[in-house]
Amino acid sequence: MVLFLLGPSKWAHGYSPPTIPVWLHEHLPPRTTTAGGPPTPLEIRQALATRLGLDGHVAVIMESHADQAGESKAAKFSRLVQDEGVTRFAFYWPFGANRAGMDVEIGFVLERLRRKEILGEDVRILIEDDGSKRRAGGREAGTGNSVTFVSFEQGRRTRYYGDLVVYGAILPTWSDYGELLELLENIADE
Amino acid sequence: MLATDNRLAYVFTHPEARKVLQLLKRGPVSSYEQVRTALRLHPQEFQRIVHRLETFDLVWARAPKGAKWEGRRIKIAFELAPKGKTLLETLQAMDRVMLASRDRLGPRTVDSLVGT
Repeated sequence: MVLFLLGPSKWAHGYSPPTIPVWLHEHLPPRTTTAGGPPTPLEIRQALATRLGLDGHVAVIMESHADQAGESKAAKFSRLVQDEGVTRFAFYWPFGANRAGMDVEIGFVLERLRRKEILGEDVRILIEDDGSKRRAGGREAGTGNSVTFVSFEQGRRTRYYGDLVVYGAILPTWSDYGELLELLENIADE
Repeated sequence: MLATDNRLAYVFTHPEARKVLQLLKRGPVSSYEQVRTALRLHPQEFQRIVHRLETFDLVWARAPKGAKWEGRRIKIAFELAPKGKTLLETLQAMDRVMLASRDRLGPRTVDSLVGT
């Protein structure tokens, strides 16, 4: 089972992300610039993909693959899905990320859902919810004790995120990176 | 001892988790009241178990067909994932094997592990 691990590349301005665990830190890609600061969401996705690879799972990161000459982002996305044999799409959705650039990737996945090439259950939105300070989304009791999902980050949802949810994307939550890795391993374990 | 990051070992050793899977086998659950009535589980305890089962990819949470956003909120339901269904079937097969050996293994060993 091949997983396309999508998600943000940067943190929101002024946000200080939590320290990542050592087992993840050791898989961060080497930086090509002298820029300091905490690992970016893109670097964390790349580290997660490397860590998953140690257990024989394949996670594709779009930004880790070079563009081909004259290739559009849409063409690159389709090429990777085809060439890598992607069967699941997972959005890494940490609290505090700048998701402005994700609309395009979400749009690519939505188009596949609309054309019924994939089903809602082929898409996971992996939402950080530590139950206190870092809640990108979570569950709450609604009217009549119904179970509801609540998006807690106002202004950082991206325009099409809601459509993914309406199409039946699965909404698991994670509270730390150990749990996120376990979730990814279990999704990929087929 | 199997680690609890093994989904089969976890459900086998946590009867409440198996009860939650059995409840979801009857259909999606979209209300905490349903859980309280069917399992006599406190909603917080149910959420704790369901969260673990979701991490194992045995249970899915998602918006049912036709659900609409109301501001920042949308109704969702918990459902049994295909792996959860397979795991329940595996446990039922294990029950049959254990029951077939009940006389030799002893009821004290077998009865507490069968069914739930």
